[in-house]
Amino acid sequence: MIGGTSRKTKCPPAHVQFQLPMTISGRQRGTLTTLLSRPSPYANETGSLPIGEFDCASSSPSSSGLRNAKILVVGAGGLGCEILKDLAMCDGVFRDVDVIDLGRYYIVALF
Amino acid sequence: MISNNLQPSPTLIYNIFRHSKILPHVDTIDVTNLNRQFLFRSKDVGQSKAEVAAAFINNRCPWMNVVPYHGKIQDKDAEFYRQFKVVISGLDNVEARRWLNGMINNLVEFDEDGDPDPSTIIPLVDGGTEGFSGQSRLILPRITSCFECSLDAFAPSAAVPLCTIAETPRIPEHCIAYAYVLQWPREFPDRKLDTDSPDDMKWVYEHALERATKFGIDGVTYMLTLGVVKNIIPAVASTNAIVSAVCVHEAMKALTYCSQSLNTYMMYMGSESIYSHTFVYEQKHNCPVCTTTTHHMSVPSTMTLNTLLQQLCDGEFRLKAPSVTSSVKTLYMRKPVALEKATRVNLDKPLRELISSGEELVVTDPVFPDTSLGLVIKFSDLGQH
Repeated sequence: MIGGTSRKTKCPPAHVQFQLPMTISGRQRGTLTTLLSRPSPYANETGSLPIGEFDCASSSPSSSGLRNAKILVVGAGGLGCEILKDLAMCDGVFRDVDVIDLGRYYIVALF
Repeated sequence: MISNNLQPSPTLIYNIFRHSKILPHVDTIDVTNLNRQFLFRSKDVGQSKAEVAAAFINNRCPWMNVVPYHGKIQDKDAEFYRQFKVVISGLDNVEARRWLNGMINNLVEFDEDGDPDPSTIIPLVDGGTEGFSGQSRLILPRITSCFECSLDAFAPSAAVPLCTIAETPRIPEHCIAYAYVLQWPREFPDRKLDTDSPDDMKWVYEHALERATKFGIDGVTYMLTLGVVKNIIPAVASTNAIVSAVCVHEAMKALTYCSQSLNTYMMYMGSESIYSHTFVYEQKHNCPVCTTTTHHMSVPSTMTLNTLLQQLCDGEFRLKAPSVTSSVKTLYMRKPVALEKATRVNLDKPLRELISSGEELVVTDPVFPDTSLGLVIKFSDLGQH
């Protein structure tokens, strides 16, 4: 048997099966919002490839600069799925994401 | 472990916990459904990957607005790519990476002093995994090296001589190659092998097995057939999780400047133990994508245009389908059809009939979107004429 084709029971929709314990918001999950709201001794400008200056006052996920930032994910395969999920779990830093992939899902393509 | 500056990885931690919830959902585990593409459910078979993945994320994470495009990256133009602040790629082949790298590099505009305009620089984060090995790379177009600069690091796929495949197969891979390179076109001259079609792949597998039996070779399996034909190395979930976490970290840092960026390459090796290291990929001084160097070639004046084009494909440029014009005329263009037909006669002509020594040619190729390569041809046998 290849893949899950012989599965008898139908999966409940994702939102039923994995109901999260509380509404997800930056405040409740914390980590990244906290990181972005505090000054850092390791901010980008201190690194070997400085490309911008970190300003913790304007780096909250709700600040306008980030709110309008669109991200492109190229490929929705093994890596692409992980990337999309990671982006979604980044406390709202990334909201507008486009994803492009020419493939279709086939059982044989799953490895 | 995974970040170059010892930051905690919320995405990775989340991922580990997520998996503990997802696993019981897989009711039977065998090699094929230890599946890394976890946004996919069996009801989605035959659907577009981009659309399924986007719908899944939008449904589960209502704060997200994921827009899918089902199609080739090559079908999108510069206007499309220009709208993004960061591009993250999780591609599985070198050619698509080259194209994307070329496109993102071309979006950079320069001011009158020749300096790149920072607002047109779109960071490109490239992730890749192969079994237990993975890598992540940050490309800041025109600032760091680009993918094309380090193309030499990717050896062209090792070719097995056709005669070995046709006459003296030794390993299962040779038998599989025989089935899909030689037998398939013979049997179905009008149809290309669809590597995503289970029926097609079964056909290849059965014929490869038949040939292997004939030559007393063991080891042809359906999985190996898929692996050889699609050039697949089995994916490992943890590698994908680590590499994608690094990629998203880099994207986040490029967007917020909250921490030091990767400079420029990170490799993860998980097969022996857990190990990673970083190094700087240097810019290639004559990179055809991120520098504006004119390239020089010395060839005999008797060389035909066709041979020259072939050299451009086989040589360091690794072109795919070059078209070439001189400053005064079109030497060979592949598109449109009428122009191809009109310029085809030039292919067999020696270069001395087409150009003069030291003349600069403009070469275009689908691997370099919207850009061209300046190539000065010098005749090596000039003294004899």
